[in-house]
Amino acid sequence: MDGNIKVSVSHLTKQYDLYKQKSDKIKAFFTLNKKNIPQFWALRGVSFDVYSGEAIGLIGVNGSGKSTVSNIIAGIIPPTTGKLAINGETTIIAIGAGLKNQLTGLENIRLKSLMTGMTNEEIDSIIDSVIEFSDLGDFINQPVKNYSSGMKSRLGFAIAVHSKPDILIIDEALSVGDETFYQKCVDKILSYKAEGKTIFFVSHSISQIKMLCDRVIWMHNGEIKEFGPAEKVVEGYQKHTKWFKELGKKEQKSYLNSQKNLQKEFKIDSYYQSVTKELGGPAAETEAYDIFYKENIPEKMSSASKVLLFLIPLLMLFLAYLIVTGERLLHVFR
Amino acid sequence: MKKVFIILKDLFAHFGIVFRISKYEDRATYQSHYLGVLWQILNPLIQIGIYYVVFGLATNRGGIGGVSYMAWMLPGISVWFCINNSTLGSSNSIHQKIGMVSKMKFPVSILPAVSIMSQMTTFAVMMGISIVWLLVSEIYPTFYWLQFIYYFICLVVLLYFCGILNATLTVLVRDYHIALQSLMRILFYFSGAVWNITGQGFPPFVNRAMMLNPFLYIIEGFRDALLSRGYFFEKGSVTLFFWLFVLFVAILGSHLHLKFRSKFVDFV
Repeated sequence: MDGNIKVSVSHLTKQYDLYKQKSDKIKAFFTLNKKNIPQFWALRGVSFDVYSGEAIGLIGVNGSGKSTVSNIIAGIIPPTTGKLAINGETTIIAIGAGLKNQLTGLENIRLKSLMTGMTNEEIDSIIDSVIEFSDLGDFINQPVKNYSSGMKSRLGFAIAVHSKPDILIIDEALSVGDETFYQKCVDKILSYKAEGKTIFFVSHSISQIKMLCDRVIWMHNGEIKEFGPAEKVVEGYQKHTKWFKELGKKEQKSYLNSQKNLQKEFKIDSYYQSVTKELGGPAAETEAYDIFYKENIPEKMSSASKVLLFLIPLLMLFLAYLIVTGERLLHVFR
Repeated sequence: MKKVFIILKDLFAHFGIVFRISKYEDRATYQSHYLGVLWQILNPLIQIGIYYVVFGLATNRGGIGGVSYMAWMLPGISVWFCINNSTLGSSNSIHQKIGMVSKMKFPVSILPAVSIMSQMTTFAVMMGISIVWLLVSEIYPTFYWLQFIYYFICLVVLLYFCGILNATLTVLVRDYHIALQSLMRILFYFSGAVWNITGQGFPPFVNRAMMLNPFLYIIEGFRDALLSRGYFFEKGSVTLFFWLFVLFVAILGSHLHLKFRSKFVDFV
């Protein structure tokens, strides 16, 4: 099965800083260490493999990390730690669709397609079918700011599916379209599946998930609670939601708080230690390091760069002194 | 240092996209104008006319350094237009498009390059006009003209890394862009574009201090090349200072850009 793994992620984590005010953000960017800013771990170690031709559903309550996972797979945001192997081109469709309001629908199609790396010839060859799929009629020459939210999402979806992705990620984007357009999208998704492409489907609609997905990932507070056949996972999720609804107001609140605290108090170092232990063997340390940090750009500046950033101004000052006093550089060394 | 290479790799890997988007945007910007892209040339020419009247006819009738004022000004001002428009354009580039790119897979670090790229047509035409003017005024090519390539590289590299840094800072702090606009207006007079700043009778050490301005280094460099005045390696320490400045901006800019890239949307 190894040959057709499309997406393989292991030990994915994502950390966000919880700034209290805007000025904290600016402070954070001048100070090199930030110990006092509270942290929040949107993902606390997520691992899974997905094969070609699969449709994967992502379910979970708000803030459980569904969108974070889909954004990381799409390449929009980098993970804090973890290994990410993606075999093919990804395209994400989200609400809002990232259209430019001042431009017309047609101009948006062009600009968006250019931004995904298509050439003008390629765009010319797909543009008619994008227009047809979006079903906007005369509105295609109107600025997008005049569109309804359904029209925007139709256009966004039409552009995205025509960029020929290998992996399509749909982040709650179908929830705004009407019944006819929804059916059209479903048909397109099914035809993609038949072609052996992989689909990630983020939704709160259990019926849509059940209809489209083979397997389902249930995200819960930044971790995978369950990953398996759609029917089984959805059943467990529904049971959980029902259990939660039946709790009293106070119990609900304290449950949520305790869960959120898990995400605030998560320590990456202890997670790293536990993974190292799990791997075992003599090379465990390097293996764990590879998985966690090798491919990720560290947020902190490397010490070599820090030294350079300190040395270069000094050198510049020295040179400036020489230049202003009219001394020649070569004379100084003689 | 590693991050500088990541940024450069992004740029070279997506150079086709940079080229196509800048071409598309140029067309889109001037689409509704009768004179179209011609404005990209007309605008600077009108400004040159004014500067000629104010600085050429009023104060520098005798020319500067043995050439007529126009021949002296044209190469400098052509470079300045490129510097000014690219710096301000690239500074705003990420902020302008953030809504669009935040929901798709797109190398944000190439956006400043798109702004710089769209200034290159104007730059080429303005330089063409300058060179024709020089030839008409009987200033002919020499070996010094080869330095044009060197100074062009200086120009592009400086603009690109300043663009990365400025664009990142503009997203984080909106005030930065306005401050930058004011700074550019001041630098216009201190970079020797229309006004021969080092020939105004200031004390020599002030003149030498002016040479530290990287924009002046480039503008005077283009003049050194086209007016056959000297080689860049003859001013070794200033050249070294310039490249150290570029390196500093590159390291700082790449670091901040990569650090905040995924969070840009939260800042708007």
